[in-house]
Amino acid sequence: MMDLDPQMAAALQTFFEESRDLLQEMESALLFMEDQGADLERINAVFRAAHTIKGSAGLFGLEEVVRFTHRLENLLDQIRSGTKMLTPANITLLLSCGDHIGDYLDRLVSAAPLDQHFLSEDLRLLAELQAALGAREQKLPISKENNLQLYEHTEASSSSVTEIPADEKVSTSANWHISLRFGIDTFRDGMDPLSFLRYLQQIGDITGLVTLTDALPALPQMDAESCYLGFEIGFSSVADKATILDVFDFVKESSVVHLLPAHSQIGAYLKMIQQLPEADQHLGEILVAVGSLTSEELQRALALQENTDQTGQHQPLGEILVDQKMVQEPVVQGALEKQQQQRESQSAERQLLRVRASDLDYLVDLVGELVIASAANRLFAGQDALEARLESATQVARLVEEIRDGALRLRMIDVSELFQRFPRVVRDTARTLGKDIRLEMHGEGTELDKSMAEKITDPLMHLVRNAMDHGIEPAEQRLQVGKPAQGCIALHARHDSGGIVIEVSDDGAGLNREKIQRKALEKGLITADQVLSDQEIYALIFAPGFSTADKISDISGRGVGMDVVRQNIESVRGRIEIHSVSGRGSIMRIHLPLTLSIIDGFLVRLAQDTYVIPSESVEECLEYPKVQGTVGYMELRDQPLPLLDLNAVFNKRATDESRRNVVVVRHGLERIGMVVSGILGSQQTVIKPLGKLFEQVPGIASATILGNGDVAPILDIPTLIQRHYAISAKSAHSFIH
Amino acid sequence: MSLDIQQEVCAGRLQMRLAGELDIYAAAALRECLHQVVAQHHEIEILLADVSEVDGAGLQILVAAKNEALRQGTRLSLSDHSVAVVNALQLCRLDRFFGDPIVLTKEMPE
Amino acid sequence: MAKTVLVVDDSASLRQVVGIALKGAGYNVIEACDGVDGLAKLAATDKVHLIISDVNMPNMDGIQFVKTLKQKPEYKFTPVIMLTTEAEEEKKREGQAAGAKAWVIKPFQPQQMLAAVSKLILP
Repeated sequence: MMDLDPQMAAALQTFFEESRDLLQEMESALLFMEDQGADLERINAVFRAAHTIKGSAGLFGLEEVVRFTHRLENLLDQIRSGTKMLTPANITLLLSCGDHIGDYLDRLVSAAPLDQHFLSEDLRLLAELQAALGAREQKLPISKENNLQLYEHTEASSSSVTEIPADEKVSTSANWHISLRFGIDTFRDGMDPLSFLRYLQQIGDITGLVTLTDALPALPQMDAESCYLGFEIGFSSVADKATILDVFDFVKESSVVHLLPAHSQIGAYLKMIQQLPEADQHLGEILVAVGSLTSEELQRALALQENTDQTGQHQPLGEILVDQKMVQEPVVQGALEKQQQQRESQSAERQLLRVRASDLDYLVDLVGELVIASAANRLFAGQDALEARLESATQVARLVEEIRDGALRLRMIDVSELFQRFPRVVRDTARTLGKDIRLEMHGEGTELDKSMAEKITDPLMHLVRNAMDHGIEPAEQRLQVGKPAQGCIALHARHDSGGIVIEVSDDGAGLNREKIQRKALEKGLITADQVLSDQEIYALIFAPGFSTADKISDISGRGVGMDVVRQNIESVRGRIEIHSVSGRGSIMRIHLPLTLSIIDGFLVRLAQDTYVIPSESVEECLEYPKVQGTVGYMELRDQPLPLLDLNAVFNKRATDESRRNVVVVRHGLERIGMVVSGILGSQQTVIKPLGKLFEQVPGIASATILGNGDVAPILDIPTLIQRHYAISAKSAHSFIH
Repeated sequence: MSLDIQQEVCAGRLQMRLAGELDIYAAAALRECLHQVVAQHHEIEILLADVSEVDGAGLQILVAAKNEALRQGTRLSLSDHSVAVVNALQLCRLDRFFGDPIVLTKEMPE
Repeated sequence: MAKTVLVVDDSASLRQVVGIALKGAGYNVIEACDGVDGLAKLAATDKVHLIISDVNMPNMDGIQFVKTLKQKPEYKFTPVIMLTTEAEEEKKREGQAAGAKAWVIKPFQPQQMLAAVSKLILP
């Protein structure tokens, strides 16, 4: 890509991020309008997105983006002004254009080449944009050259900037004569003649200068805020004429600017002198003073004037200026003020700071350590029996918890950010499938960890596509059973007991219990005599290699099956369950923890070691029953509860078996009692990645460091429960046969 | 920041001390002030040591005041020029118009 | 003392690039993301010598911003550079009527912006 200094590279990064946000906004607005009809506010938002991208791309010299967005902007401008309609075809075109810009930016970021595919898409879209715009020739963005053409054009037609053509007898020197009469409103317009003079010095040398104060009224009469200044300047520069004229671009409409080569043809000076308000002789002397004319040249000029023109009456400066006086538009205040206050508060909320994700991770990591240290601190303070110390340690602990909450909140994003990609996915998928499907999204305001959101996006995408493909029936079939032809996919998010629940639901046919069972049987996943609950059968679709689609379609069923979805969800300590009612639809419910880095841990003792059970799994703690019924079971409120002796699982030899406890844990719908040597209480726990040593130990998810510095393994409850059921099922099997 | 105007009569001579920005924001008030003093005094010295900025509007007032003083036979002089004042006067080649001695200090340009 | 320029634009990258160019030339630069923010930044800053404002912004656009600004005695004569595109002739006129007499046409190179600012104030 380009070679940039670090500052510009950082700015370019900002541009990429900002452009992606803008493209997303553009897409959302377009999709909304496709559904609900066009509205000016959203058309404006789309226009502004394209406009901002174009403007910033220009700063980085990304000409392709500028060129492309320029065409896009033209079409949007016409739509905005009502010349063109926002037809469905145009929406599709605009969406593709957004994708194309995104694709270009992605390629830029990854330094991928602009290949044939990209270029043909580029041409196709430009042609479509052209067609949508109509055959009218489009102006290209104005470059510096075009700018000047425009400038000279207006000049010829109307402006007070007169440029006198120099003829071939021009002196070859790079000396110029500049004649300036600033407009009366120059100061009011925020312009200072002195600044222009200083700028001139930056592009050349002022070789001579006379300040003209002829127009300055007497002190009692003058308006101190009006400008009465004029200058005659001898100027030497390597800059070309256009560049010098460009200096006065901002005042060209209100002021009189003459630029001619020094010592150029006398006639040109004469013409200028005649056009200026001061007395000809006086002005002539000034020109000599600044070195633009020799006195000999002046004499010749004045002689020439007497011969040719006797009626050289000039319009006084004052008259010209009064004509050009700007009218200040009164500002409507009052009514706007209240509206403004509201906007101000909104604006305050919108002030965001971009932070590097890795910096944030580091902060959260440190806070995690702080939580542990604070827990240890409080522990030791408790041992000292010094009330004041314990009190202060408790206070520190409370503050640390607040810091932790605050730090974690920094990583949180609104679920609507996660959902925002889906309208487009549903729209495009529905088109490919030839189905009419709308998307509903609920749960805005629910927040989740950003890294979790990233990991959950693909599984969600898969579930949505799957529901559209397999869940929603074709329109005829829907109508037959009395459903509306349009299907509905809904995304819900909500907080639920320390975690987040995200649901993908559809109003389709529901899962076909028999079909799944048949398929599982074919694949050898189950045996014919197994008695399975609905839940257990539905769970089979998450088995590797399971696919019930009659034919493999382009949308789902590409081998990347539901098993991958489940793995992805479990990798973020989440779980998925399915609810389905035949003929009414299905719900895929994903339970996720709030964050990936800190959990509330429930500390238990196995023999002499401390283990951690994630508190979210813990339902209750009981004393180990003195009287045992069936081996491996205990009675809990008249229900049998399977027991799992953790000491046995991890090969611990417990010394004192007299005061054991049972921790009731739950995963999904399964519940189990874990037998432990003792309960140590709950504590905030920072999850640390496991060392290689633990990786192969089943039943351990990760580890944490305790306040006293010991490492404590964190138990992987879902795996432990599954293993237990698998083992007991097997033994039950062998027992029966 | 704006322009601060202080006046002091010293041995029949009015000393007007300007401090701050001699610019468009100060122009109207300064014109009013100069208009009055030029009519009332025979000798006026404008001290410019603490002028941090001068723009065209500020310069224009000084020119108008000088013109008015000449017309009324009042002696008006600029003194103690700050760097900003010298720069502006030299840029516009107005130093000779006022004709007051300019004390060049080290940081001032030629 | 360096002159202060306020850059009001909803594009963070534009503000960043303009900031780099102007700071490199010796100006102080403060940024605002829209008109409302711009007014807040002006209220919180001792003196701003020049204002660069986009036209098309959410919340409060550049036209309204300049109109409001020009009502304030302390910014009545402060130069304003309006950022427009060539497609926005109408907006440019509105901006000029509101008091933004200088303009730079988007897209522009950082050097063009620096030149425009330098014409109006030196650092």
